[in-house]
Amino acid sequence: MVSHAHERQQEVPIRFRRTLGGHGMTTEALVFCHETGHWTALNACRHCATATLSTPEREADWRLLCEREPIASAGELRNPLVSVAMLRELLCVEPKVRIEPVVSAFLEYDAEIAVVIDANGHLIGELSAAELFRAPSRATAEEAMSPSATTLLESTPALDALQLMVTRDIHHLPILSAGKVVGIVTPFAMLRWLATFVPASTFGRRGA
Amino acid sequence: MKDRTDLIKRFMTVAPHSIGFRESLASAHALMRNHSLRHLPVLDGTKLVGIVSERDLYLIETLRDVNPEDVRVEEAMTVRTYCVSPETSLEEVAGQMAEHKYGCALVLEGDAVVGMFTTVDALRVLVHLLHRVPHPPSPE
Repeated sequence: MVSHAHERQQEVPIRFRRTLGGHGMTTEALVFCHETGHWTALNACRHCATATLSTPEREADWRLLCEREPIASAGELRNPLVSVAMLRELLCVEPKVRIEPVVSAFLEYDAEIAVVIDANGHLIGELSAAELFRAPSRATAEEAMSPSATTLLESTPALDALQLMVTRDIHHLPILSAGKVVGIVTPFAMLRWLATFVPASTFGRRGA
Repeated sequence: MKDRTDLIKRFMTVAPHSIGFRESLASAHALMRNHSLRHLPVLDGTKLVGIVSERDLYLIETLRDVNPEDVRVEEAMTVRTYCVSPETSLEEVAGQMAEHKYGCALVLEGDAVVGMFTTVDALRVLVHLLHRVPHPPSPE
């Protein structure tokens, strides 16, 4: 539990970027910083005097409270950014990793997709269930992946991303911050986000 | 009077493609590929007995040394399905799909599958509906 939490503190969502490389899996927690307006490593956030972090054993119970006022403009508050809808888990894979451990990680984290990144964290491709499971087990991630066709910046309005998914039948949208992948949005992720805030009246139950 | 415009029967895909439980994985793959489907209701005669997703098919082919021509759909299908009546509200269906991570809802009249509603269908409807409200509210 967080103690002495200031009443102005707001809970900040935490996402987990897991990267499978030649030496196994590394995990980095990411948070949206109200000061910079970017997704950033949780470690950087720890040094900020306005943040109160609680990290119990279960990652799902981690909480971060921040006292900073959101820097978003009024327009952004009415039309939230796409990154609010990102899946909690992002599975990244280095290009030379063989498919077999990727399949294991895919199943362990119940991933809908994995992204292939270079040494600088830049996106170079995607591995969907179809690509992953069709590939020979001795293939590498870069041999099995498809190039990423469409990506979005973290500053893209969420409803623009929704429109893009629907009109172009896109099932995975990697989200970039400063050139690096910080998350992914899928139809399920978008639906889950919409279900948390779209008013019942939107569905036709006016006044119900 | 209750507004009846939000019922799932207005938004579902009517008479969706389905497959018999004795059909092969190869047949299911072909059906999905030819019609760009990600989910297929699995039937015993006209009765629903499960659902198979594209992911289920890939999974079973990966975990076992199987020939897709020889393995039956019933070995890859999920018995647990999310089923609703045509009179269920869109709001309830979308909310349950989001909460429980269901890829689709099957719409049943008695034992018969009369429709299907997928996550992507839900997003299409929401895009349409959100254009009717001036501004979506903040998630805060």
